Amino acid sequence: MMGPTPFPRLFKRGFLMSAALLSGVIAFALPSAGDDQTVLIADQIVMPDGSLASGKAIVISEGKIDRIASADEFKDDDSALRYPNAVISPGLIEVLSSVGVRGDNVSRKNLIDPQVAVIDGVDRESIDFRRALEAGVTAAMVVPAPTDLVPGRAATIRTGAADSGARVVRPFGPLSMVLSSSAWDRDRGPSSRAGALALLREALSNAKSDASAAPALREVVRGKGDVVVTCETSADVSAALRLLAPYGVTPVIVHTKFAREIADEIAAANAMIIVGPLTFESNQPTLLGPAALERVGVELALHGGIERGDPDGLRISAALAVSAGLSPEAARRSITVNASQVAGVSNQIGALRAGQSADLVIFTGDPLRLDSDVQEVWIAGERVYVFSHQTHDFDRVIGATDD
Amino acid sequence: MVVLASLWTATDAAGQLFRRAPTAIENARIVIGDGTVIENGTILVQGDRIVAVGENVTVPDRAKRIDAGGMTVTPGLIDVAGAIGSSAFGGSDATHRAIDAFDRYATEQIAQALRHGVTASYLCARGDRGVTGLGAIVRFAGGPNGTFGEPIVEEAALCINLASGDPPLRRLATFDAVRKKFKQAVSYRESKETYSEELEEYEKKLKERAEKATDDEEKSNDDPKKNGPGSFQQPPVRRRPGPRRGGPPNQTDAGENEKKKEDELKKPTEPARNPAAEVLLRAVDHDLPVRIVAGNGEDILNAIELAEEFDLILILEAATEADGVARAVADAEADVVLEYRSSASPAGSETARRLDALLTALAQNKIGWVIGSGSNARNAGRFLLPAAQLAGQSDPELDVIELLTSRAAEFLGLEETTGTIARGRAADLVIWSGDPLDPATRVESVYVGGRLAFRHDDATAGESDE
Repeated sequence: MMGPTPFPRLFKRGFLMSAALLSGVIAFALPSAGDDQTVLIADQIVMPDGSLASGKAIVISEGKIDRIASADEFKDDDSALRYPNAVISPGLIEVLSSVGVRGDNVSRKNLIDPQVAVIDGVDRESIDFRRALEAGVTAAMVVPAPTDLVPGRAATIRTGAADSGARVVRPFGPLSMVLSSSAWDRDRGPSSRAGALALLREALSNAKSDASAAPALREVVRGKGDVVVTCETSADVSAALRLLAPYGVTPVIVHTKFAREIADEIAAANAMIIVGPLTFESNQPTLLGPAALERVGVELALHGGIERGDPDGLRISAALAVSAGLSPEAARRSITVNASQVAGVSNQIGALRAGQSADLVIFTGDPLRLDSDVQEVWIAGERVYVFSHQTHDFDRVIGATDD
Repeated sequence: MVVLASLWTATDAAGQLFRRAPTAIENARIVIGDGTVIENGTILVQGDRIVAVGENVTVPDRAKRIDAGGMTVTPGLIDVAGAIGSSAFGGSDATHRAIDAFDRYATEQIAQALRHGVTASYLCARGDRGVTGLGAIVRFAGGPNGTFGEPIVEEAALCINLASGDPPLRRLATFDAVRKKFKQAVSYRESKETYSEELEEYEKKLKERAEKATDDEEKSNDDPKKNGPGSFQQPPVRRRPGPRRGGPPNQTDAGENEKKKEDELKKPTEPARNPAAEVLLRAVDHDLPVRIVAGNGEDILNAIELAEEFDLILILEAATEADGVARAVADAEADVVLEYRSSASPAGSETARRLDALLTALAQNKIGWVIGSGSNARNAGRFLLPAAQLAGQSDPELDVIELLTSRAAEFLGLEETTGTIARGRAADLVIWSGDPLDPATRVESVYVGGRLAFRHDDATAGESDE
């Protein structure tokens, strides 16, 4: 990124004029580079560390973020899209979603089904995707229902896209494990916590020795797979960490209720955690969890419960966590880059950074503020949603990159 | 004159010695509550009132000075629909009063409200169905023994629940029962008026009888043997049946018929007192507004019909389906009270979508709305962020602080005493660490009636606990 060059005033004008001429020539000589480029400039943008920065421009090319530049670079550029008083954020990412999942997406017959992939059961045309998109959520890590010990593999799906082929971000995502009474079943088993852990331990050790075991499990025991474990109690959290440690796997823990109590253990294991949803009716100890986790250095992702509750659930969870002490930077990370990390897609989405897909949202203010609203949503460099204040109706604009 | 004046001065000096020193909150960003802001100013408080607000306020030497360090000061937030300290109300009659269920010792809930900057609340009188009771308004001013809660209006509104969650037939029955109660109240008034007239008649006739009897007595009393010297004439009194002194029994020569008539002169029976009806009549007389909980379109229309029939001041509570009947609501000039409802329930996303449509309809039909925390006391005071969210959805120009302070005060009829930072108003003030709508902001301290009611543990604005 270029800063202002210290030139004597006398020569500055001449320099600028020739530079303009030169860039004009270059632009003319290489028309494709200029045409495919879209520049977005707003009051502030959300940086990968969660902070808000002013004076930046986002340069998009071929659906990806080319670079983050200084807004000054484009001050004479009329084609740059300007959003005064707005904040540009990476598209929000909802983890543990059940959006678009129709009916029962797991077979209750087998309690360990590592090969079941939720991607096969997702209805991409579901209206829930649309609502999530309008709330600024551009991708969701969809998980299978937690009714089995290992119900299958999660998948990360975009909530919309100009090109339907771009919907799926990662079809075979983290393996989902459930240490919760929701996976117990008196007929099929297990019917207790100890029983559940015994079964899991057995399945993992079998996968180590048996070459014909499910590939998803074999990946895990070889330390290559990622796992997300839903833990009902704090004891389940310890058990999950203990279960997978021998295989060199650090799971992503899903637990909300006793997040304060287990914060140190999570930090010691260098694990990430998913917390939420936090609602206006959550009690004080629950709301204090995220701040406690941050204090010991744990990076967290927030679950918003958007398809069951308020489509703004992700931002509500974030705002409530902040009001209970979480730093605004960590809160912004928890609904963007950290969420993409637990979904295993952080190389593609989640941050405004060169090389990432241009999935972003233009908010009317800081996304953490609940009086901020979604103005526009872009996916893969295309504007896919614009809010219209006139009619309070929602317009869908596909394929256009400028007004 | 001179003597009087000096006496007065002496008393005043003595009074000043005993009066609390004024307090000045300086270096503050003052959000007045009516939409205006003083970027850097001073608030002068004397006793429980604000005596001056402005950029250049003269602060008396003996005043206690608090440096707000540039932080934002707003009026105390007012909850227009809450249940702090009184959630187990369950009223079922017009005479049931929310204030009687208010627990001044519910310190935790009240502390939670104060922690969120709420200094006063309307208490809902909720019940299962029908006429459920009388709401009240309380202020969280410090009381003895560490309690916080002072009633400022004991009977603020009549509450009715049309039980929109009930099956249709039951709802119909509920509405009919409510209507019947109002009709009965009106006929109760009519029967009281009739009774008054009849009583007047009766007394008139009695008086006539008495006068007549006195005349008769006078005639017989002309006989000096009847009255001893010095005895005074008994003034004419109401004749009661039974033996009487002196004079012949009151039997005129008018005959049997008249005697019969007089005997038939019975005192009219007073209609039995009906306190519930009297409350309903207060609503009819516009002495009390009527808050009707009506969750679906039909019940809202019924509420409007009821209000029209009996000329009631109508406030709709929890009217989540008002969007479908927004026109009718606007024509009826009803006010709407919203409360944040949990979105974590299975129907949550539907509720959120509905709320969206509702806000749009309210804005389009220019129906004013206010917001409270709801009848679940666990949410005590936690309605600033939900209000911000609703405002963001419906009208980005909406001043949320104004909505929760001066507009809320006006809605509850308290605008003369609180809701804005202005001379003469109660010193109900909140000092915030930043922009109140920023979730990272916290309440530093809360003053109610000029007294410190809450102070955050890490508060920096300089003042020690009183």
